Amino acid sequence: MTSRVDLARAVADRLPGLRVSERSVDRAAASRDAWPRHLVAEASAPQSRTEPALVAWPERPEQVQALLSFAREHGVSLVPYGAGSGVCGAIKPRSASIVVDTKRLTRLTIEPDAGVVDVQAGVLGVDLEAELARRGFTVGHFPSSILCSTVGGWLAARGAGQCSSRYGKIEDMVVSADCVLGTADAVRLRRRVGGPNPLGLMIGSEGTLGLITSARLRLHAAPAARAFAAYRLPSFELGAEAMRAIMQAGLRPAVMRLYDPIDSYLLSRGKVADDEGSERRGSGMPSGFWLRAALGSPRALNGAIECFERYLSASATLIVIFEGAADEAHVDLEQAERLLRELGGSSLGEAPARAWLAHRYAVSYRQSKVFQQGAFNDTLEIAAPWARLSAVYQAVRDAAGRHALVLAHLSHAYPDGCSIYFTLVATRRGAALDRYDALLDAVLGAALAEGASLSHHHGVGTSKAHWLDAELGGGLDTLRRVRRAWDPELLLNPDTFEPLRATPRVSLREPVPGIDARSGIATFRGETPLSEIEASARAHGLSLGLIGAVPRLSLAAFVEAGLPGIADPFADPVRGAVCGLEARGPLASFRLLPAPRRAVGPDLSALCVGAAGSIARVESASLALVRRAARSLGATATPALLSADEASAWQRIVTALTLTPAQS
Amino acid sequence: MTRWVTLGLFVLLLPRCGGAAAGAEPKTAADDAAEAADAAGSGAPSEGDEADEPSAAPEKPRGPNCDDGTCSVCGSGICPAGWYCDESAPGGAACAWLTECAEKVSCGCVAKVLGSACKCRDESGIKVSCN
Repeated sequence: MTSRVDLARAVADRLPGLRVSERSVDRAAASRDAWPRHLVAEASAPQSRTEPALVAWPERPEQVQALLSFAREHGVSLVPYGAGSGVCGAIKPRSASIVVDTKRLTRLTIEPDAGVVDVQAGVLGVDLEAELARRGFTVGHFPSSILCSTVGGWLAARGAGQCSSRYGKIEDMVVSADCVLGTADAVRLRRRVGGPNPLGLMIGSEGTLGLITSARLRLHAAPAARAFAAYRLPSFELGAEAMRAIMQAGLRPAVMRLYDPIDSYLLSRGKVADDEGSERRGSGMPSGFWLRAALGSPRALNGAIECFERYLSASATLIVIFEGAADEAHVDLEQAERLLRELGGSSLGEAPARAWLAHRYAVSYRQSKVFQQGAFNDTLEIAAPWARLSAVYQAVRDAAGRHALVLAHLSHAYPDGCSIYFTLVATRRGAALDRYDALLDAVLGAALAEGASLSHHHGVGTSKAHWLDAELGGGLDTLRRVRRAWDPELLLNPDTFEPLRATPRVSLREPVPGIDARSGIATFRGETPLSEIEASARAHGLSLGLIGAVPRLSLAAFVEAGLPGIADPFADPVRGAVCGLEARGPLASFRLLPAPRRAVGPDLSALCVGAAGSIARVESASLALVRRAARSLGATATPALLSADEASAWQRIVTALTLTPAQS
Repeated sequence: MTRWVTLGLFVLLLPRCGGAAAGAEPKTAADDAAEAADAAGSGAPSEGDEADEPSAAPEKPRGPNCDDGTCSVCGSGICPAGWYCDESAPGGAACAWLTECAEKVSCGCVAKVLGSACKCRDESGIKVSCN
């Protein structure tokens, strides 16, 4: 296609009903997401952005499918676009690309009897929950970006909401997803246990494997009551211990957030700071003067903060909110408060937790203030098992502290680990772009080296792509083969996941084989009998939590058989099952270090779990355990067969990862 | 040198410990950093915040109060400050941003970049409508 005009004409001829725009205003708006590096780059060295050739707004899934067919015929790349609030540079169209804006895919059907909602990809989160609230339901997904993110974006990025410790992440909520693969085949991928689960590959694929047109999400009854508490803990470490104890006791708070000492202190002053703002603007003091001055010497600033923590206040603040039936919320809170008091917590009353809830979405709307004050900020949300959390926290603080002010809180807790949410603020003075890149690499390198996963819920995009091969244990090649299986011409979001820079070298911390009793994780070689693992777990007061007798299988066979006897994941969405995996096959090779949840592209463990060894053999695996005293996990799910369209899609994956081109 | 800077910053933070009201004090790094932390998703409330949340749902997710200039309403969603609302977007009102105008978004800047086909008004946020 020689020009934009030609492309527009060809699209109009082929898809007469499709709404398309060549307007500069539309192409500019769809040219990128909210990755902070875009801002830093433009401020450092103004350059023209790359705008796509066209923006299209399909209104029906058939139009998406037709667009894919068109793209294949003409070799045009397609970049899906929701509300543009992603922060990892996953929206990176080329000048000849068509951006597929999903915002006119807005159908929403609630099926109360089935306990599900069918919602098209372009529905804004706030509209979905508003509609559900009117009917007395919730999906339970409340990202702070809920006012500027779409359902399709949630699935594509493998996102998490503020209530993930009760309802799980988005991947724990999906019953099925309707997609159009890069082959232009429409397929409904259903959640499945006991067999291949290609849905796990689509969620988190960031627009690279297919375009998600709609999803069927599980419904919960809207909570009848909430119970609130806030506690001061003697240290950040003890706060983390409290979160671990609460989750491992089987309690599932809707919200549980721990602020480190300086974050607790600074943020406890948030209201005062806001109140002062208007007066100060008239005082003649340049806004952000102190920020700019302090950020000029980040080592010193972080040193001062460490002094503050060491000598004045090491206490951390934990807020916790339970919700559900009236009795349930208050009984659970009482139990959590008992654990908090045992760990030296002192109550701050309900008010901080109530106030947090009242302002829960306000936090995402202040970034431009920082930018206007001559600084930039970014956030990185890494995930690690409980046993590694403290080391990861300290290593990242040390590494990032050379470049930026570092703040942190814990906000997505699971029985086996937690996400640490780092807020990084640095000056834009001087070589800001170099500083940004050095900061990002310092954080990600330190996190990986200490045994964390790069991302819990923001995703990879282009921002972390050069670290992806390290995260996947050399699995980038496997990921590329998966892409080619469903998108042979690599037309879908082609630059996402592809490193823009050389992959830095980093020595990953090897997980210690055996039982990590602190995290409740069993890591064993694939040939280890499951009964042996269960016995080892029981020696620590833990269990695999299987329903019925432990199968006479090796760990590898258990994983490849689809975890027979495991409770239905919907019974406890936050538990997780396989949290780490190493696999080798003819053309597939990857290793995922144990982490509670990750958002680092398609879930490669789906190539093994329930796949009967057809793609790769499990060399080792990490399973999340349950406390033997914890609550019952319910029943197993009924295994479901692949439908014809799913089987066809799955076979493409198997072929791509087992047969060389000559063989196939 | 670094030790002195550290000491200075330590002293800077010291009197602020305990959360005493400081209405006339100049804004500090701590305050700005708090905003930065807020901006990126921390947002712990002050202990003195009034409880104004009913104890039960259902309820429509309530957005932030944009009176403080941190955001603006756009369709059924909300745009962060620094973004503009394209009310004429073919997909429906949508937030967008221009790096050229990120430092200080204004109708002057947005109109200059988007051209004369777009009309801009500053009405509780920058609103754009294009032909």
